[in-house]
Amino acid sequence: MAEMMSNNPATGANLDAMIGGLGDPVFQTQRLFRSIMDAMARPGTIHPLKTDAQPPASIYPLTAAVLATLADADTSVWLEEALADNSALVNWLTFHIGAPFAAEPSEASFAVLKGGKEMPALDGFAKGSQDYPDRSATLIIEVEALSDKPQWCLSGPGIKDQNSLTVSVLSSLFVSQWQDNHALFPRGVDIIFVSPDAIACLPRTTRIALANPNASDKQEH
Amino acid sequence: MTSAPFSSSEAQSGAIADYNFAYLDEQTKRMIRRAILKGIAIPGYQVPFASREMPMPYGWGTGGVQVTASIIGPDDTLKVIDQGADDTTNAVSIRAFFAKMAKVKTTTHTGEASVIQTRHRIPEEQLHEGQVIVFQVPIPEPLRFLEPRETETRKMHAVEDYGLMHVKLYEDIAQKGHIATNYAYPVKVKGRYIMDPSPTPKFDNPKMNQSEALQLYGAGREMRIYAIPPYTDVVSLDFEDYPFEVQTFEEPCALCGGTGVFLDEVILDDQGGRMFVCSDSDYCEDRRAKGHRGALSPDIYESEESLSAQISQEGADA
Repeated sequence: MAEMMSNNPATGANLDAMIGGLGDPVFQTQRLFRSIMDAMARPGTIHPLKTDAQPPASIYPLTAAVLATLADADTSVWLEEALADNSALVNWLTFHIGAPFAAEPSEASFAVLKGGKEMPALDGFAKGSQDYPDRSATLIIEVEALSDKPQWCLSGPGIKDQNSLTVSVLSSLFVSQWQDNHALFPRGVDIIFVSPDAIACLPRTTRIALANPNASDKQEH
Repeated sequence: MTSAPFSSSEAQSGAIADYNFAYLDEQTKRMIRRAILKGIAIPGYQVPFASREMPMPYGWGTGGVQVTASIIGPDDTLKVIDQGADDTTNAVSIRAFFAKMAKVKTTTHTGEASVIQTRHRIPEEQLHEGQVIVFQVPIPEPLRFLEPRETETRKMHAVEDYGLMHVKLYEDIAQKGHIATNYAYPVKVKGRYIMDPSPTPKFDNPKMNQSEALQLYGAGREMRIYAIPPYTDVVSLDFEDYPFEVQTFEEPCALCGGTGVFLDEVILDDQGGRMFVCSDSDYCEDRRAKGHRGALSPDIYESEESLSAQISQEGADA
């Protein structure tokens, strides 16, 4: 039955792709944007968020909602390979967001990727030019969880002294890739980490230092 | 309060056209929101954006209005100031615009506002974490009067070639004995970009440094958005032997007796009579409500209303 519903033979339209959009989009995207703006202005702070978006199960609803808040026909979106091969997801994003898909990561304004050990290197994405450092990619990275346990000590603009952040799980190469990205300032990519129920941001200005494991023990007690 | 606030009956009654929430369409808001995020990620860098025509002329704060319209939501409380005052033309009309187009709460109290749109002042009361201050910017490029070509100023920012700005400040000293810039005094943000803080008096420059509030700047005619995140180093340019200093005032505010604040000169008559009063009207009113009095304070008159009436009468006479 569901399969019969999913494709309308008369129009060829994929009906599954049409359901599950953001309800009350004007106010929901405003609320989402304010959290993203606040998260970008205060790097490493964790902002719990809810959405009623229902994309195909291959991405978090919150990832879809962040993308719907920021991307549209004017911005290209790159999906990591496993996501780009998922036609249900591609159809859903095409219907609800309408952004053109970038063939190469370096051409994308937004990239959606899974955190994890196999994450593509940051170096492959658009970093902007010295003249126009704003023409750089914003990476939307899905992670299992975000917490303020001190795996990383963050410092830089937007942070009073230090913020601590733990992102589960990222490639072991991430921190050194990020340090390269940070050193490119004003060029560089910016990151929105999305967990199932919260976001946190890393603008290119943020420095990451690995927290002293002893110090983290003390803080946990 | 999450449903669309503009019902069709309102549109039909002719009370208000059927505009989107906060006037701008959603695609425009997304474009501006993307520019804001890049601005925050690159503090002090001017992000180009596709500025829209607004129902007010350029020069009336169209850049600030577009930024405010793109961030504001039903839970916000908006304060708008024009040269520090809540009750001047630009402030009143922009506040009314958002009260009508976004149906947000408005306030004149700095501490109660979540979003403050400002033309050329930063409030005297210290801004706190979570607040956003939106500046209306006429000319965002600090190098524009030194180098009119955008292609050149863009290169200068790209390679951090700011020698020309230091020559300008040096020439001020050579010719006038001091750095003769009292407003739009250039700052360096996070040790990288030189930025125009909009025509705020240089008195307000120190408030930008390590501010708890997020600072957003919108230039409508020039189509630029830039930002300073909270807790960011903002340094006013100077020389070791000619350090940056702010304006000082010889007398306290004539109404509230406040010192260490920025004062406006108010002409009282055509005989040379004048008074100096707080430019920040909310700060001044708050102090008077707490019982502080200045040399020409309302105690002398029957009430504050009669004083303001008298001042406006005298102003009209002059």
